[in-house]
Amino acid sequence: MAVPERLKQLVDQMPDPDERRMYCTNIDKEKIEAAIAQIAKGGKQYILGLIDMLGAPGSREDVKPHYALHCVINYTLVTKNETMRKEFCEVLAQELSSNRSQYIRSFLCQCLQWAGREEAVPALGKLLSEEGLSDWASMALVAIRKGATDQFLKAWPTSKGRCRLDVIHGLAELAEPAAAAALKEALNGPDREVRIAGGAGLAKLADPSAVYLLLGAADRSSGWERIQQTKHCVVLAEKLAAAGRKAEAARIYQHLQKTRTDPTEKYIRELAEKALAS
Amino acid sequence: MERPAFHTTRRKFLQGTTVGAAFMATIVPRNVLGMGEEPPSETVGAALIGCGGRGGGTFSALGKGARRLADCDVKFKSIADDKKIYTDYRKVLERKDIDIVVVATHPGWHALISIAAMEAGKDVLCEKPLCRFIAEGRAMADAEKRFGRIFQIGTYGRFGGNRKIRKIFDSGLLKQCDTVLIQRGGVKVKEWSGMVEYNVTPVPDSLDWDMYCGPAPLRPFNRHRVGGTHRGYWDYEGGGLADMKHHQLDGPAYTYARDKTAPVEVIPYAPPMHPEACMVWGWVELKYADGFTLVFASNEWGPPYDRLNEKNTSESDLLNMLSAEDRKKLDQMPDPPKLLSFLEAVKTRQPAGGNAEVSHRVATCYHLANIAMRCGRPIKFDPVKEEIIGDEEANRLVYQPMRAPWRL
Repeated sequence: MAVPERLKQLVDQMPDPDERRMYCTNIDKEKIEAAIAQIAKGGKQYILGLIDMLGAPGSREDVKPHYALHCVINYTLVTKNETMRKEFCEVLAQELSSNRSQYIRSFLCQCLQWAGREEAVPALGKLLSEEGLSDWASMALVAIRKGATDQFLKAWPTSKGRCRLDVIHGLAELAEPAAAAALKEALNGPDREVRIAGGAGLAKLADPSAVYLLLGAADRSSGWERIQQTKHCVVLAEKLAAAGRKAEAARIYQHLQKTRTDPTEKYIRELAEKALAS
Repeated sequence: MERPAFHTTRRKFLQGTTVGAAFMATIVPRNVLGMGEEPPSETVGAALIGCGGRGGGTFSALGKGARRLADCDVKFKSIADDKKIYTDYRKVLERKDIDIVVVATHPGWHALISIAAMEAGKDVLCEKPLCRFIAEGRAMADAEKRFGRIFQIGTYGRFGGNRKIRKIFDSGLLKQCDTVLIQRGGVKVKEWSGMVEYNVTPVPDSLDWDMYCGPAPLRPFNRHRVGGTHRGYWDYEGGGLADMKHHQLDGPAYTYARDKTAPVEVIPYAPPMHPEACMVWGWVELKYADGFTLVFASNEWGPPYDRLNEKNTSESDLLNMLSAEDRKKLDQMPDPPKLLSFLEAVKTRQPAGGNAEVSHRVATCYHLANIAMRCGRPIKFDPVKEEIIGDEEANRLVYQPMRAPWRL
């Protein structure tokens, strides 16, 4: 689709990079804002046109549409125009499945991370199996939150490699009860970072049934993983105590008190003793 | 690469070391003094993570008492031996002979490395700015408290703060004030901006670009993103405002007790911000629940700030707001406690003057200022929940998703 001439003129109102190739001189706030408002008025067609105008990373042709697209998406938030926000984000989401470059689609994910909501969730979910974009999709989904866990859970059983890490990372960040089984499965997986993510999620979830799983994971690991899983045990204990499940919390602290006997882990033992005494 | 050779015995270490007028002290770590921990050896081990820029200078604050056992930097990819030279800080933190970690990476890593170091039982001296976003600062303060570790930020403005004014605010006698404090310029806005047009080039062989980006998005390599110019990118820092404001605000934040809470309302004046590159801005007003207003004026873009005039900032101004009876009460109250240097804090196991909790409150100011400018709208903040009120998308900048496997 040809980019409308009027849109090109409006995009040209965005500042030129200065001699340092930055936005530091000749920045006219009113002029930019007026042009952005006009672009917004152009609706979905102009959003699509802006996406068509995007170029290669860092290129001169990319500078103005790149800035304008971010600004117009943010304009919907500044003006609190929910209808416009939704409409524009639907266009961004729809273009995630296009054959545009990975760079452009990563930028669309970034825009959705900024302003997207439920309307973008299914399209972002589809990217969770695409290496090179799964990390972008995961971050956007974590930012949006609502409905994201379902997408991560859908992707989890078949995910592999980097994508699998991005998926479990998302589940750990959101830590919703529906993710408990996947997080437990991750805790016993072959990849260290996946196991750590599983532990982080279970701790954040404050799942009482995870007490012995987490203690076991911490006890059988060494080095970095032991440090992280021990932290997860402590976080779980704190959350359980705060939720009134003092017996389960005490079990964690007692275990840490008993097992962290190495002088370099004395601070963990002391932490547990302090918690038990309080 | 030049590295000083430290061979320090326990005896020499206990004899002490001076580290500059602002924080002369003796470094006596817990395990050497036997303050609750057994000495693992006759020496005190320290590591420097982030060896470029301010790294060496920050490390030198430890004095000659610390043995530099490990250097870690993502640019050591071609020379790392995982014995003394590392690219992955996680391997450094696994070492049991290291008690103190100095963090001088780009600020996108400050929180994660500092937190992980405290989780591993190390004390931390971390370069400013504290962190990249508000939730990171809270997590640093939580880790400091949870693991009972010592944390000190690498700026010392508060050590020269006005203790008489601090006492007025600490007393609780001044319920409301109409103080306006204006900080003009000095934050290198243009100097620390990012490039909106750039060349994508191959990653140098010596650099672990993935590890450099860490929790930030993995973007095409652009040379301007590394070295000191990283400051101009939201991915790693927050422009001159985030970079310089901790220096500039640390003293006043102590003096006016702004390190106990956070602003409740933030009003920005700036052009629409670029999504990745920091750029020019005008001013930001930050208002506190007690009526105190803090203004950051860039002096580098737009008309000069003239909405408010500075007022009621001096000790006499503030005393005049108290009744005669309250002034008498104030006289009878103890002075604020002396702030401990990092080294004194390590020795006594009491919080350092620039600990993570107070530093987080300072950092919250410049992060809120940047959030309001990036969002292009005023924001209201809940200092207890540490959330922006009624603005879901602005809150996404309070707790920013990280790239796996990195998380708070």
